[in-house]
Amino acid sequence: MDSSALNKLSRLFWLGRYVERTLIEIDIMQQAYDQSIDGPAFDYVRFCEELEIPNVYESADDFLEKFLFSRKDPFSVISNLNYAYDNAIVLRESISSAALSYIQIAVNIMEAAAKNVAPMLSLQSITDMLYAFRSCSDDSIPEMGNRYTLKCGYSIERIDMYIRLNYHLEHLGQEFSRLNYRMQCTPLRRDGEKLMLLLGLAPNPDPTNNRMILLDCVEGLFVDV
Amino acid sequence: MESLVSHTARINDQLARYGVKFGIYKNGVFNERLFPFDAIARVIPADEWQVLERGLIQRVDALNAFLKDVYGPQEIIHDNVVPEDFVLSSPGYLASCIGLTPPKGIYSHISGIDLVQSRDGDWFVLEDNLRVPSGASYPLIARTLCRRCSPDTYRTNDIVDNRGYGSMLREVMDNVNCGGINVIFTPGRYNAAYFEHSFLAEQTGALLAEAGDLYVEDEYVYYRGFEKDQRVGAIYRRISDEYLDPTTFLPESVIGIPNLMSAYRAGNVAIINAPGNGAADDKGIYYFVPKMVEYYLGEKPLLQNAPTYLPFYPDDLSYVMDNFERLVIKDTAEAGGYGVVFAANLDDEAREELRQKVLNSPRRWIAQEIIDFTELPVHLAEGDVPRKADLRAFVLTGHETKVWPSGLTRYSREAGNAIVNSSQGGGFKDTWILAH
Amino acid sequence: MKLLDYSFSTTIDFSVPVRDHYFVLRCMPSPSYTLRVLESDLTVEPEMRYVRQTDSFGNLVAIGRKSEEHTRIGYHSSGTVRVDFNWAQPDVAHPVFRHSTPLTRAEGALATFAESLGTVKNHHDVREVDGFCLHAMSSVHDAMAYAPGTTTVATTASEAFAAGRGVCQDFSHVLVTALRHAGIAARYVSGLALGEGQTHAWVEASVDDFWYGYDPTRNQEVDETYIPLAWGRDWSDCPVERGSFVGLADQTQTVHMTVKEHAEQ
Repeated sequence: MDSSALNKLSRLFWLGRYVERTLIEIDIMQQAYDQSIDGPAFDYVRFCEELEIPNVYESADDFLEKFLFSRKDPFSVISNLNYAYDNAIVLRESISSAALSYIQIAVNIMEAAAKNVAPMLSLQSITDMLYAFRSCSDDSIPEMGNRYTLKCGYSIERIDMYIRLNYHLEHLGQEFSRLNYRMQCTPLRRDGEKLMLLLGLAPNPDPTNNRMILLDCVEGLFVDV
Repeated sequence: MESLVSHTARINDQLARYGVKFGIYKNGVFNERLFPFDAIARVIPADEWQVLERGLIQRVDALNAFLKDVYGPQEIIHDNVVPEDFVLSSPGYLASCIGLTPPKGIYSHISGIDLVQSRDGDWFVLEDNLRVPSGASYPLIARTLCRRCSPDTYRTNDIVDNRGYGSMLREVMDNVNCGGINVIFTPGRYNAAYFEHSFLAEQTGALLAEAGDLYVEDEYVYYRGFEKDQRVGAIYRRISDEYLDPTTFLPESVIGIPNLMSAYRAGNVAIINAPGNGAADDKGIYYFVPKMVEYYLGEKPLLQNAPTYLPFYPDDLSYVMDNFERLVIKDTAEAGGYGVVFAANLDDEAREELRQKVLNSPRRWIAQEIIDFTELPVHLAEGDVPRKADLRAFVLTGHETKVWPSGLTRYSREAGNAIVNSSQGGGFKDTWILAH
Repeated sequence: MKLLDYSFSTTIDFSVPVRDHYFVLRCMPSPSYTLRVLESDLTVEPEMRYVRQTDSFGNLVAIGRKSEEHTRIGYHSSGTVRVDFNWAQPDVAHPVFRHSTPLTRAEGALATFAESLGTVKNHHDVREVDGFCLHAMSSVHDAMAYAPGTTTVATTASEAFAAGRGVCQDFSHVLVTALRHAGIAARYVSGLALGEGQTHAWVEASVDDFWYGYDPTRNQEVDETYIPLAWGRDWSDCPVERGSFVGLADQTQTVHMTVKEHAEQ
């Protein structure tokens, strides 16, 4: 197969974004959970502001519960994982049944965890499955363009989340250079101006002062998706 | 087999892992449900299978010959073997396919023939599905998973491998491909059989396409790629005829490929299965299939139909009226386990009403003797229970007609219920063909 | 023999732009034993590619696609044909023309009407069959009033007959239904008749393997001034235009045609 349809590329890209988002959010929630045992309550108000999602939570505990497991909350981790699944399920023949099965297991574990009293252990298994998905798909997607479109999704989401949440900023430069390589290998078209700006800012991104411009460039980098 | 059965729960876990599901609509809401799998396989001995295999090939060859005939010279009608009315007033007979011969003259590339076995061991054909028969993917993936769970079972039993379905299907597509790529055309993920569509795409290396991915220009079909478009030579479509092309069939279809029929008419693309096959798998036409075998092949049919009566014929009508409460009454206008009524299960009033309907429009109905078909054991936590089960055999017509050495065995959810259609909530089993 | 010049235009205006517009046109006279096409021209606007094919009923169709956005599609078909009934040859009707379709089922009042016309004893007796068809034609004409705007393309023969009114399409559906009820193979014809204005529809019946034309709307036998554009079991096989496009647009269709006798030069 030489060329995938745009909707296929778009799904691959968003699959990458949602998988990455789920991974990062689980990581943050694990910290928040741990902190809630004996430390200060997790500052979910600020978290919501930074992520630009509506704060519909009544308390830190309420946040921990709903942000992880509420299917009604379109920004919850379970919703993000389900969006990843929605994209993956229509990509079976592109990513392989083997890779798809890891997303399926992650979804199954998440659903079971939502009913469980000690969900943290399950979250670890979900992370395992999503990393298994990443390596399996890397191996099983034969077309380079498809493979790298998925990876561009990971990179874009990671940079986006790092900037929004002031999180792992030390990895930002590394992620920029990954993205720089990955975007050469996807057929998706780039916005030239945003790319130039982004490359200019990459050595010293300074997300505190350049937040808006960085987010605009990252979110709008690929014009087709 | 015991070791395999002890792994039932784990196999079902594996099926869940691979998302082996089918979708159902209930109260207007789409839900995906796991298709329950029972690990006790249906076992068909080699000698029994050989007879079935020959009978199935014969039946499908005759059905293909029939389709070629009724869209062409109609000799079987002129020779008074099948009444004109049964062919031409069938809703599956598409006037826009008259005089149109599909690539290599093949109409039914993938045929799903539903069989049951009586308690005496005789096999009967209950239904031919020549439009979009589904279900092969379930035993196909189940076999792979069962082999993982219980290798010994497959080492010690001489079971014919069924995992070649993907390559058989690919050969069928390649055989009629008119130049270009193969695609599997799906109505989308909210279709009951979406799992199968995507799984078969993976298994055959065909591209999975939806409405909008394909377009027709100058009598050719193209797949819309991001960088360049590719010509399509064969379409294994998983949508029914009426939705296929809105400029020929239902104008309101938004899941079809406009002008597809022009490319088909020009001989530039194969449509698998061919449009118009409904003319041969009508519940009314079923009655005539054994006659088709004799007419077209000059052979004695190896597979028998369930004893069937056509109220259309006065003799049959009076038999049906006299024996109404013993018979199964089927509405030829309905499909998928719907419109099948066991007259004995009706109260007097409902039965009388149905009897009047049959009298008023005899052509619309068929009546069948109830076959007391075998029950197979189904493994439940509380022990094995017997359930009615049928078998859908998959017959593939490429450069020759072959039977997939396996099949979908479906069992009913409730004891005694003889309707095993998956849309009515049952489960499935693997079907083992023994090599010796 | 008649030499006829025809010209037929249709314009469809869309209330908002549409795209990915696929169309199938049946607006060119199809050659038959009795009709020869001397000149035929089809132009489509905006300019777009189309191919010509012949469908299962022998109708000439133009099939094409306009992917770019547009708010109007127009086509103009014109030419010259020679019609001569002396060229008629036996043409066995496909049995599909003996069977009812969803638009041509004899139900209710139409069933009673069809029954009242009686039966044909000898289908090979040209005079008897032709006489039956003429009688059926006049009876349909008398039973129905010509009333534009009272029916749509989806109105069935039985509905139109029960209401007692309709346009040429409905008259023709009713006659087709009645003839088939008597075991006569009959087909619906969409086409152009002498004069100007709208397209017309009439009926052809297979009379001992020759097609005879009857016009129930005008209550007359079809003569050499009628130009068939498409044959079918009913209207749904012969629409002059069928399209599929992307866009939520209302459509306004304008049709104009003229047929006149060719002035010898």
